[in-house]
Amino acid sequence: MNGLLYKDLLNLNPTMKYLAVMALIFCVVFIPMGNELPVYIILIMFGAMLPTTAISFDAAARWDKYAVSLPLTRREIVAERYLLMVGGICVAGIISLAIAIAMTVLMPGEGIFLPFIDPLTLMVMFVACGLFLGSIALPLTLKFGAEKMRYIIMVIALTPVVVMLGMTFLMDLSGTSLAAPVLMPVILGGMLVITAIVVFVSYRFSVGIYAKKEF
Amino acid sequence: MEYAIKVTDLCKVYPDFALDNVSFAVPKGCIMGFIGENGAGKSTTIKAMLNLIHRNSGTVEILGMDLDSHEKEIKERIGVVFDECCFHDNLTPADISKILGNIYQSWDGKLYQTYLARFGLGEKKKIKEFSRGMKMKLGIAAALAHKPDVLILDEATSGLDPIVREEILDIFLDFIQDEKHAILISSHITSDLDKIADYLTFIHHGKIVFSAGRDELMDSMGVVKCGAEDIAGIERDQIIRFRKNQFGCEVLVRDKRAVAALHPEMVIDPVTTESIMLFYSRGEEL
Repeated sequence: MNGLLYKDLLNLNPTMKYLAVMALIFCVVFIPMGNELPVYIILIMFGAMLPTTAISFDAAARWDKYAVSLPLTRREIVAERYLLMVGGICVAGIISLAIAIAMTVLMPGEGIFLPFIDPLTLMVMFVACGLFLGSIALPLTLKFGAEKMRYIIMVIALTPVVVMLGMTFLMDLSGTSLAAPVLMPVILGGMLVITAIVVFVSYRFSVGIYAKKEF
Repeated sequence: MEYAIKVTDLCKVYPDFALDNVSFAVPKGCIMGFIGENGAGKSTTIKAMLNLIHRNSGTVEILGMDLDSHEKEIKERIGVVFDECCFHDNLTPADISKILGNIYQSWDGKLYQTYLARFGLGEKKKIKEFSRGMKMKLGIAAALAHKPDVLILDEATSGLDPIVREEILDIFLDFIQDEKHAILISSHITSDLDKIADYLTFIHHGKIVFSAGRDELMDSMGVVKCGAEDIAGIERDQIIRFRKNQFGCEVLVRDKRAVAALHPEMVIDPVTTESIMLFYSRGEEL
């Protein structure tokens, strides 16, 4: 599996550089405006899309046909995709956390979420959202191919943002704070449990889909 | 006889094509040429032998192990080359070594470098800068660098110029010097197989027509050149296929010596792999 991961990192290297530049532009544009949200979204989305990008590179090279002829089980090939997704999203989460901490220090009171939620909790929630999305996207990508999935993923990626903003709006209306000491652990715990279940179920689905694939 | 590959009653059904009880065996120390026209089922058979597609029925044994129960062990000990390069264009041969070195337990980086040097492939050159011939040589270097016992080659020499093909065939002949090794090579370039194959397996419309020693086939079969009216004079059980042309008829016969003994007046030419293939594919049965 290490070989597969190394292959994906080599292939994704130019893409990751490009994404880093994009993220930097987002930072320069949005953070001075006190709106850090697009930066988190773009970073987490990039992380969640890494396996899809890797799958599209593999499809172009017809790598899977070769990979299945190597001493690797199909389960290992799928597991590597999930490892890449989890790794990509966690790295995106760590970078987002660093940005959030820097904002709280340098621009206290600024930001969409930061005045209400501490940076670590916020990033755990974003990482959970990323894993949730990635777990929906990955089996679909394995089933239908990266090209068909690319645009659908972009749409899916906006879902958690809409959900989080909607949730904040509803809480504002009802007078409940997202950061309420009682509510926050429940939301966070619920998100983590749901995400863990979704990742597990998604992995099982992906293994099933890949096992049936013919090359 | 000890077999490196044994395929038994392999079936794979598609809506418009089927592999029908494909069976053959490749002895150790031998090269088997797997021949047939385009779409005959060569690649499908090889894919089924590697579990790239799912068989409907049949068994595959490689190096005495069942493919279904020992897939990983088998794949550790075989080298596979497809008709296309499956490596990403932006990688280099050095990258391939690092990738495959983390996949094959027995990967030998030095041996890989030796093959790269022998093939004149730069380690740091991007694969996208390679010609088709260079890509195929890279595939072969990658297939050999983990010291496999069996090579499975699907049209590995197609689209290459004669000089590169000759070079690659020499490598296969070197590989087979070890009597534990074996090669299954599918190709429709029959001249290549005439140079290296010990056995020939011919597949036609998803069915194995014959699987036999090449020398045995060349020694026994012959092509009788005669008029259309002379076919009736040849013993029916000797006629495999015949082809009519503007000058008369060509008949592929089972035992050229027996036919020559009975019909000394007839001209009997030796067969080639290509002529056998053409008779089976395009000839008529009596």
